Amino acid sequence: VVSMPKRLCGRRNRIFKCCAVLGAFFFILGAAPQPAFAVSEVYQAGYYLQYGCCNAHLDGISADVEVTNVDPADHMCLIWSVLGYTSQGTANLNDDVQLETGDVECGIATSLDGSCSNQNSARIRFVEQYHLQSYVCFPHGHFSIGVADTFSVRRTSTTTTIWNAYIDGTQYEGQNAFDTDNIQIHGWGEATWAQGYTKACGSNWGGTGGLSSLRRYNVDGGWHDINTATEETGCFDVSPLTNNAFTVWHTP
Amino acid sequence: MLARLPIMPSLYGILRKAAPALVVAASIGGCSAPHSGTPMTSQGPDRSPSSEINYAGARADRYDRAAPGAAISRALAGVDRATVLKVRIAVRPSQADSGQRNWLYVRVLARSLSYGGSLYSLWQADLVQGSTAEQMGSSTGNLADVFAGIEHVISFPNGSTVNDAGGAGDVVTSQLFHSFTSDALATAAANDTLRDFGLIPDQIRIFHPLQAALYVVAKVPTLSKIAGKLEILRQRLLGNPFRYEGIYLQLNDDHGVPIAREAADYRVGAGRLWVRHGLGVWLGTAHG
Repeated sequence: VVSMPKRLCGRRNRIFKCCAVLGAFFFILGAAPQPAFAVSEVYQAGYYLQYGCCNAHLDGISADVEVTNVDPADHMCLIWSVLGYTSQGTANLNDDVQLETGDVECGIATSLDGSCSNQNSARIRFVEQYHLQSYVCFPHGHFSIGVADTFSVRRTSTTTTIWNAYIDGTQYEGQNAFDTDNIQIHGWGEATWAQGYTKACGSNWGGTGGLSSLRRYNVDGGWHDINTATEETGCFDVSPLTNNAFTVWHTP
Repeated sequence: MLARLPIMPSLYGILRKAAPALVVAASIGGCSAPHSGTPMTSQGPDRSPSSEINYAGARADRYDRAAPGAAISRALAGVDRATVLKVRIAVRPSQADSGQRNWLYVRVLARSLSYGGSLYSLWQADLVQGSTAEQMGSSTGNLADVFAGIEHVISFPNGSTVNDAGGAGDVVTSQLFHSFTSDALATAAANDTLRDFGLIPDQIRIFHPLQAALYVVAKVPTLSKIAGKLEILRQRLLGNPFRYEGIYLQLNDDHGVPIAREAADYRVGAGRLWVRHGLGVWLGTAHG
């Protein structure tokens, strides 16, 4: 307000009034709920690899996922999963694709994409595709506390742009348009809220999930244990990556 | 992007359940040869009986069983025929010799990809898939087992196409949704719900792929009206237990430009979500 250009405030005897109005405007603007531009929409914590890391193409990721406790708040979902992601940059967001599979439990007031973990905080094994800037989720049965399922996403030949999702060896949905080079693979826990923007991690929820037998896939070279990867943190605690296994948890 | 999707070899066959050597080529709407583009998805065998979801919370004794052609016809009669261009059921050519199960091919029309423009078209494809699978499936099975795979092709007015991944969640057959007794009542209820949220109803339609499916477009006078409430609005429109086998909810800003689209088909188990970039959490949606 102090540095407001004179032309906005007019004559000297109007300065106070004009600047007060403008000040109020910007105060209201700042106080109103604002879109979460440049803010991560979910908290994600775990490990990832990206193209160039391993002297080989990244063609997939696999992990045994075991959730040992999960207690989401009403308006959030908790996820432990693996995924592959490719981006062509920001020139055309329609080109970004992702394929994710894992365990999800949402609170009673929300769901994942509208079809996964809808009712009674169901514990769901899911596959989620992302393409054309849209998500779509498919449920594939329930997971049990303390029981590991093997989740993987991968391509099966060097000539295909399709990655497929597998749960305990059974093939489910696929996703096309994956790049050959520009690939990231992640194994992580996610906390995603559905009740407005918040920076707060929150203390009204908790959960623990372990990812073991974490492996990357290369069409030519097969599966390789992941014992070195980049850690990503946010809200959760993440244990060190040891013997290609780690744990992601949050304590209320 | 539109032109670079390659022709794909089939990838899924080794995990498919040995299936009856049923070879059906039910073609509706003048569909010719199976699309030769990218195969999108498939569903696997050996699910446990308890793995399927019942969104409706209730089951009908049974729906009338139908042959593929009749099932497609009934589904198409209840959806937007200007959007669903072609539907056919056929064994993929590359797997015909191995006796694989049928795939469902759906071609839909979309005006553009901007602002999540494909979502409505893919929802219409989901409605057809869910209805057709329900009519063809057994009364006690898993709807994901009806088709070996799903393939969507999105066509645009300029003649270009985009392949998009289909899928099928593990959903029980014969779900009975607790629909209103008339479309007028359903429309009035949706109208009231939108106004309760401070929204201005624009379009409300009821489709009938099998039971009712709700289509809603509403204007958001100011974004703060809907902050954090999109998921709650969807739940209110759906009711508890669910009244609809499918729901499409589109919110536009005061210029008529979409800010969010949600669509679900609860016979397919597909929940779709597009939110204008940067508004996802602020509006109140959850995704992976």
